[in-house]
Amino acid sequence: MSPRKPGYVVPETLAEASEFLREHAEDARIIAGGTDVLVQLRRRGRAGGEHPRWLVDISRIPGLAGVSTDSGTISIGAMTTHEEIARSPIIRKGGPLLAEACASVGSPQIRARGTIGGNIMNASPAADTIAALAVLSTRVRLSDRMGTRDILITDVFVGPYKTSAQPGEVLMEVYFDALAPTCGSAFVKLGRREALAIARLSCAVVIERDDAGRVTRAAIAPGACLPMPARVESAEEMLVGKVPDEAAVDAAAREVAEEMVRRTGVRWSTDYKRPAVEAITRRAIWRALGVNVE
Amino acid sequence: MDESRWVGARVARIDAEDKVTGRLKFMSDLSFPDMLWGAVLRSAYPHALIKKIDTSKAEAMDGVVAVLTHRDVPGLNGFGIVVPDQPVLCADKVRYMGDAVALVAATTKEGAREALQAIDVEYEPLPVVDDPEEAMLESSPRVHADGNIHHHIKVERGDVDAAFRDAAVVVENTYYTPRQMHAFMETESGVATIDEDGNITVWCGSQHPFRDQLQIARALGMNPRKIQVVSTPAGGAFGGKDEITVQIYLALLALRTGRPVKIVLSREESVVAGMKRHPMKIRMKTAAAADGTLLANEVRVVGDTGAYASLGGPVVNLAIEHSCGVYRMPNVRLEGFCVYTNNGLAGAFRGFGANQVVFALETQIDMIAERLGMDKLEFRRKNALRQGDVAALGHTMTASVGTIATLDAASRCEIWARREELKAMPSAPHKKRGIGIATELHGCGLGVGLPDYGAATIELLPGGRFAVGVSCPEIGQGNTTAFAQMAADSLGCSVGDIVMVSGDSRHTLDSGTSTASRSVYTGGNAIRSAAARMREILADVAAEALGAAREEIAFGRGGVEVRSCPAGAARRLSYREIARIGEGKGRHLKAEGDFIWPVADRGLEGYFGLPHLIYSYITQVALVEVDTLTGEVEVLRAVSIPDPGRAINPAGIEAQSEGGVVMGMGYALMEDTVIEHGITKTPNFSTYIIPTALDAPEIETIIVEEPEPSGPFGAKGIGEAVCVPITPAITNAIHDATGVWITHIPATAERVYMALKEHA
Ligand SMILES: Cc1cc2nc3c(=O)[nH]c(=O)nc-3n(C[C@H](O)[C@H](O)[C@H](O)COP(=O)(O)OP(=O)(O)OC[C@H]3O[C@@H](n4cnc5c(N)ncnc54)[C@H](O)[C@@H]3O)c2cc1C
Repeated sequence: MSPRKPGYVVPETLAEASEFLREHAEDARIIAGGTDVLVQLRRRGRAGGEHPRWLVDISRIPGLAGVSTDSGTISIGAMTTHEEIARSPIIRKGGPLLAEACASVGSPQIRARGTIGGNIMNASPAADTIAALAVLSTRVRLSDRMGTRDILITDVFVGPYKTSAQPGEVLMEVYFDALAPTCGSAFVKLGRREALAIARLSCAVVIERDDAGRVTRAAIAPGACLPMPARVESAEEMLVGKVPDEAAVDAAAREVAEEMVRRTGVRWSTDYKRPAVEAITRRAIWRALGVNVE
Repeated sequence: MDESRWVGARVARIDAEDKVTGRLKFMSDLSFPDMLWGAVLRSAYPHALIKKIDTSKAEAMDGVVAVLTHRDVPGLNGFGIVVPDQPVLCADKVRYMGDAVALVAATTKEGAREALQAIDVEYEPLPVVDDPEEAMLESSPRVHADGNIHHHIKVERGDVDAAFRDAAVVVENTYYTPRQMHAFMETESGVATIDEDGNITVWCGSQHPFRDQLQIARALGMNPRKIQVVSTPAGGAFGGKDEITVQIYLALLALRTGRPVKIVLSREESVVAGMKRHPMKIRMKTAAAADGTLLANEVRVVGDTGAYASLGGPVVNLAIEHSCGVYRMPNVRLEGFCVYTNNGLAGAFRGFGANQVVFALETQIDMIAERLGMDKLEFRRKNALRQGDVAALGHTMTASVGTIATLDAASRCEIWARREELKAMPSAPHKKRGIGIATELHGCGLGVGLPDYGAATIELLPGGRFAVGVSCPEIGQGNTTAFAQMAADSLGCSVGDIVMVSGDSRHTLDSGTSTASRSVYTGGNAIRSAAARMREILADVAAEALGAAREEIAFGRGGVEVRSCPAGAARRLSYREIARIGEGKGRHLKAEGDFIWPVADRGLEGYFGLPHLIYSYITQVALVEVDTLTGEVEVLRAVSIPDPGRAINPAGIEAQSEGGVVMGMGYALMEDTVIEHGITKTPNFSTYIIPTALDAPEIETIIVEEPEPSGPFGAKGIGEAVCVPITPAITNAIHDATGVWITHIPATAERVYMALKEHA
């Protein structure tokens, strides 16, 4: 009836962690920075619910930390903090919108503890890195003691706060191709205040153009407003092949808002969210095009 | 004497070092040997009858030392500053989710919380009353047996109907204001200890140790002399610790267990159970003549006080008093209701009813000025009360009046003087800038009909320093530093020679609350009275020791000397030497001082606390930028122009001003404790949004001084006014930027966006 305090285990290897996690499937929970887990434990405790029996601290497992780059591919270990990513020269060059997204998370304290792995695997629709990772066509590596599978970031999620990871699987790293210098990108977030603000809406955009200024590739992912993170291809297509002008950008932004409404249905908040998503998408596209319309 | 060496100087807070080093202990930091942890079982329903309470399972748990219910309250099972309508522990009915039903003391904090869950309470839920206007209907379920209208006030002067008939402009609107939370850093917390003789000490941050002592004694059925209350320092209060919080629980548990007991409310418990600002619905109809002279104001205020009265009645009274603001208003019809619901609890909060009505009024004023094509600042200046004028409630403004001085300063401040220029340079094409202004007066002290007095003690300590005692607690506002400055100048010593004793019912005399913008004025006057007596005592001792006549003794820096003393003769005594002489003679060198507040020439029959005689004045100006695509509002700059009479410590005034601006900005733009069907939906700072450092604008404080002759060194209060007009200054700026009038705060992005859309 009263919540037990969970036990705390600190495996030294992936195999050990994975074994333990599989064995205690429903009873064990990975803990990385703990900035989501601890809040949830406390909330559950107050609601009189059950705590997981075990917390599995993965910080000692080798290979989970840091940003690296190898022949154009950037990898980020799951235990890398928002702070490290926001400051990383590799990210700032090869995926600057991810640095922006990480820099917008919470507060200095939260950024110093919260990890990208935790942000992804918590699977909140409002998680700031996910939209950014989606437009970078990021793949994630999930491993357990049997082996490894690499999937697209958008395939990680099966619903709000639900992932396709199996008991025993640990998110090891995420990786994506560094953006070419011809690419522009942007992450725009709408919160209720300037810091410590969970995104009410966000939008991540990557746009690549040829010498003539024509869009050769566009990726647009709104955040916090879809049941599951996704890119909006119908909007992306509206930009590809064009030298973007106001009409094209407006149309793409409107399409993102329409797509949100198609996926979520009309709710009491739609009257506001529709125009707001449109506005921040437009802003993100222009910023990715190098035009600051802040 | 009384030269201003310390008064008026930017003296560092006397508690600064202890605070920044973490050395200072708040009550929630205290621990005692053998201490137990207390916890409070709160209601499971917003409105229900209690059928049965069974504590046997909890009592049998390991580590549980005591479980108390209403049956264990020895004295009056109720508390409340005005009427004790809030049960200490509910017996037969609960009226909000924060109602206390049982208490536990256990050897660990976790154990105490676990035991709460083992207490069986059988409830019979009742229909929830959550709309104040519905609550006023006879047909509504009753929160309290004698009806849901706790208090009703009606004031009428002049011929309102005729004024509206003859007016050139009449504006009429309905305003809605949110349930703001005090958001103090330290939740309601404390410790109680008990000695072998049954004397209890309650250590708990609060705003009036002597009233706490009385309320505890009443509930315990005990002689107040056996109860000591220590309420300084508090980790923030803002009115939210004026009423009893956990003091009685602590005392009951200590009494029952004979051991020290500590309670620290979690943030969620604090949000659900604690005090809030009254949400108000305000209907306001205001008229002016074609030349811009204000003619009449008709106001109807409905305040949601939640489950219990606390200071709800006085809050609505002050809303009525402040509803005509700084203006000459010859014809008024003002009516206020304070209504019970099952929506939490509302009571004292910095501003005390003014925040709501000043938001409404200052919006009306801007609307009228705009309709008449008049400059908004000039319109205010034209109609502002001057000294000697008769105010809306019929009393004469005999004390210092600072409106004109603060408006003059506002007219010269950069964001007002250059407003057209600043407006024309938004940071993006889809953004619009605007500048807004608002002004208010704010009653200091408790008003007509309430005992309002101060007392202070001064004692010369063996080393030559002075212990100065004033009971008004230090709640973070810096009053102890101001007291030390005023004492230093009154005694001719330095601030470093003053040892402040504050907020302790045993070691100070009753000087009333740290509320109502009153503590510096009250404590300062009491200190001056005590210092005058202290000087007589010191002169006596010195005259005798130096073989001089009393009249020959003069006070200088750090001691006394004999006037007209021949050169070379050592006829000087430092305070340290006087202390030694006094000690040698077995003389206790201690003086007491007292002070009684002056009041207005005219009260209002039936409504105690109205009106005030002394007011602080303030004008605030805001520059905002509105994102027309998302509705987001950013306050870029704010100018705050308070008239504190005399700034005892300009740095302290600036700190108050800056904190006040940010608090009033949160009220304008983001804060609201959402309660649906009696259930709090924003129980923590993840959902109850307050401004962060990054949201705070650049704030400039310009102090203007209109000295108040009855105040110590000319001072009056300022602690509340600083958070009031900034709210309408911001919403008026939103109008200036976009053409949209904000009548419902907080002006969240959604609300602003929807208003823009409607306006277009
Ligand atoms: C005050 C505050 C403000 C916040 N602000 C923001 C914000 O602005 N934006 C935002 O996006 N988030 C915000 N968060 C949420 C949180 O900080 C982030 O989601 C953070 O990235 C979580 O990382 P973590 O390492 O702390 O995760 P943890 O809490 O340790 O874990 C989160 C979840 O992921 C799982 N997990 C963690 N690592 C792995 C792994 N390697 N493999 C498999 N599963 C794993 C855990 O089991 C758990 O379910 C905020 C949180 C707080 C408390």
